[in-house]
Amino acid sequence: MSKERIIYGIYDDDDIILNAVNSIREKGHHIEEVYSPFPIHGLDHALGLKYSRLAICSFLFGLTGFCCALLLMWAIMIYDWPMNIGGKPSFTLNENLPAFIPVTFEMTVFFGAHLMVITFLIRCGLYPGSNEKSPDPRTTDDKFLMEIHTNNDEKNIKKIKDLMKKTGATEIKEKE
Amino acid sequence: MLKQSLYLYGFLFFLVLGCGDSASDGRKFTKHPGYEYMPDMYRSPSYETYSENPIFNNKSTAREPVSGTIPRGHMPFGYENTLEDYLKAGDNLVNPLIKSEQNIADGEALYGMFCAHCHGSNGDGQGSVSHPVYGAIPSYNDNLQIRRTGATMSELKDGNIYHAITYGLNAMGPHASQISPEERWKIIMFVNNLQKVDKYMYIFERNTKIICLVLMLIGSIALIYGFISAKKNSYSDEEIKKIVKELYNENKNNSSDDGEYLKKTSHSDGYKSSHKKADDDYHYSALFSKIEDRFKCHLDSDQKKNAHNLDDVIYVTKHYFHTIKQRPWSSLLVSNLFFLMISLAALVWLAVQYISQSGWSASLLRIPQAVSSFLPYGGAIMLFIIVTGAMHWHHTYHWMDEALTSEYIIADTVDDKKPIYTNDKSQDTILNKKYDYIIAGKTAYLNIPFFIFRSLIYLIGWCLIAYFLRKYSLKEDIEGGLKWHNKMFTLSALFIVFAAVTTSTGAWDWIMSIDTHWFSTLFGWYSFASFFVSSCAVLAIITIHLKYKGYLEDVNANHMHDFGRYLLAFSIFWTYLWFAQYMLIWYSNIPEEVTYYVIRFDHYHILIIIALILNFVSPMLLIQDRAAKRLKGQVLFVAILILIGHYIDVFVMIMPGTVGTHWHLGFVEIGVFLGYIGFFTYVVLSNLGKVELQPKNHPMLIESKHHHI
Repeated sequence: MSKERIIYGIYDDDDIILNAVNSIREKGHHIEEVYSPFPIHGLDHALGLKYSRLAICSFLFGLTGFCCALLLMWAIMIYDWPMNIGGKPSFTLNENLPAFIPVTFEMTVFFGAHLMVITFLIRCGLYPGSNEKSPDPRTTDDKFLMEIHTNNDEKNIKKIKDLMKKTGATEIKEKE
Repeated sequence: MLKQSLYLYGFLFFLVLGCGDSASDGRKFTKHPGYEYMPDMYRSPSYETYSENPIFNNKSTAREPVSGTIPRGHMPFGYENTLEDYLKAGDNLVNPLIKSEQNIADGEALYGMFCAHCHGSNGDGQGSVSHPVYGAIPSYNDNLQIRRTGATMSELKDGNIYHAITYGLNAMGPHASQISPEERWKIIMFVNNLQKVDKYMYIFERNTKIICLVLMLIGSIALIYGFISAKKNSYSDEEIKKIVKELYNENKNNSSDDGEYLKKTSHSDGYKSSHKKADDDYHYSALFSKIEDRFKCHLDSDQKKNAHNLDDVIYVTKHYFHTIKQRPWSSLLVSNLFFLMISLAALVWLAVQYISQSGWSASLLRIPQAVSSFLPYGGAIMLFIIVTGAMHWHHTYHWMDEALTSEYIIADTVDDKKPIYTNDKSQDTILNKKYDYIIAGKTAYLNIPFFIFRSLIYLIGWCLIAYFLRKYSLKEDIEGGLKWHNKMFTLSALFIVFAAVTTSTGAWDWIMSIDTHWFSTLFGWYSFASFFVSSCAVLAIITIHLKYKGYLEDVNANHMHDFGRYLLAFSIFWTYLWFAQYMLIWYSNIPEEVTYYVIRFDHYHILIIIALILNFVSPMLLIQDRAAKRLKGQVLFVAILILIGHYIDVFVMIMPGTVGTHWHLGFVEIGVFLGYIGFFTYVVLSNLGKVELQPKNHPMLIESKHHHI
């Protein structure tokens, strides 16, 4: 029988679960997921996650915003309706650039921030009508939950449960 | 039958057992030694080493070696147990063993067996047997207190230590019988390490000291050279007037073409027409080229074009020589201000750590304390520059010149060397042509007594707060508890308010008043952002230096990460303020504001571009990434770039208003900057070596140690 079984360990503190993750992974068990009410520094490293490529996304989004802003400023201030900026009527993008920098900066941040939030929601599967991902609603408040998948081997399950208990889990349960 | 005999044998067996117990004769608690049924070699028939011996005269079995011989495997130690021989041993003995890791490891093990219980496992004299009063043991790395033997503990020579192990010293007993000579040398090899490397006490090494002194020497040579060459190239105002007039007369007689030009000038329609002519086609071009040949100089082309009469020509020429004289003073001001404000910004940094209750920095607070120890030195030189300015030795702060702020001049004294100026109109006075109503309008704030008074308030205030923050921190080390921490918290909070005002007004006074006509309310923050990020760079560099030298064991990549964040954040902040100031002035296009950037963009654009690349682009690209901020080498590299960039930034703040278009970044400027690096480093590092590197009783030390981000 190779039905997969899922064990949950619930912890009280972010430091405790960080140490628990380290020591459980040291014993060679794979941790599927950790649910936490807030980001824990160093947890991604402890879980052995791959290096995030979100930074590249963020750079590309920012670049898009930068280009859009310059295009916008060129279109409305130079091309469509040439404006005399600060008494310097040169009507070129290049020479009027200082005036456009604040807009460009804001647009870069705007594109970066909003597209990053959307990317984040998509990556987490948090679209409207999606199912709840967390196995325990308390992880959105003050509890930290560790999820381990294992095969149907009572001995192994007992080992994992003992390990969780030893590393400070306040509550251990199994998915029915 | 069998049963009966078993009982009998059993009884006999116990009887025999009882007899065999030689220590008992059956009575309880007796002093009787017991019978010896079998004295199995209890007593030796021969004489034992330490037993009495009736044969020899001194009744002792143990014999001394035959006179004139030495035992096998034993080297005699030719020194007596006297202070004299102790010193002699120090001078003469050298460690015969080869320095190897194995030997040092052996030494460490032996040290742990024979020495650590008193001297402490890390040589700090805090072993389990020691007592602060009755058995105080000096630390091996103590480099301050000179001992009875004429040297400090860290200067002890190998021979001294060997002598001390052999015969003992002060409360220490002789260890000759326990530790063999070879073992002694191994222990000495390990103790050598304890004398040098200290986790808690920074040792300002001789080589670093020499580098600092060499840099200071270069700096003073550069400064002296600057003054001498400025003096050599200078002409007095009268001389210039005379020479220019002579050249003018020659010109008039010799050249008819220029004569034509000269005629035109009298009814020239001024600026517009001359401005549109080609570069070398302006009034007095021939005269100016003669002047340039005569004085071997290059006058400012804008000023040449705007000269409309002979007085203007003389003024342009004089102005050139005034700016030449200004060069060494300005380079001194740039470097001094840069390092003075860095040390002030380090103090602000320290105060911010206290009022924000930062835990991560608790173990490296000695570093900003040391950096702020430069304040009195930089402050004294700043005062020197201000006072000499008030005495008209130089014209850095040219609003100090009475000629600019007085409306009238007493008629009789016009041609004197020092005319008498006045603001009261009377029959004896005539209008002062040099009168500058904008500068005159600022005299309520910009006048010499108030200026010196303000400077004194800033400098004394800063120095006092630096002194007290340091003092409280040292008291905390000794006494512990929260008392001193809370005091420092209060003092820091007060200081932040004081610093917020004084850094702004200080920047207005010391930097902005050079361009007296110009003003920018943002200027204080812009310049302080520059100094603050430079200060963060200096703190990062010193921390990394200490890490490379093996100090600060509690400081790790997480702390480096925080320094990287400081550098990146304040570089962006500086760029933001720089650009905000520039863009507002560029946009509004008001002449009296724009002049500030006109001279900078026309004559200093290379430096501005370099500064922007170093101060904005380099941190942006090089320490944006999390992993990059955690690399010591990368943070060090960026910190050095930022320091250079902000020196250039301060250079561009000060030079256009003092040296003007005739600026150089040559031997004088760079030499003085290098000299200041040496001076600053010397002051800071020697202060760092005075007390233990890590504060002892800071309440957040543990947090600092376990800092994790």
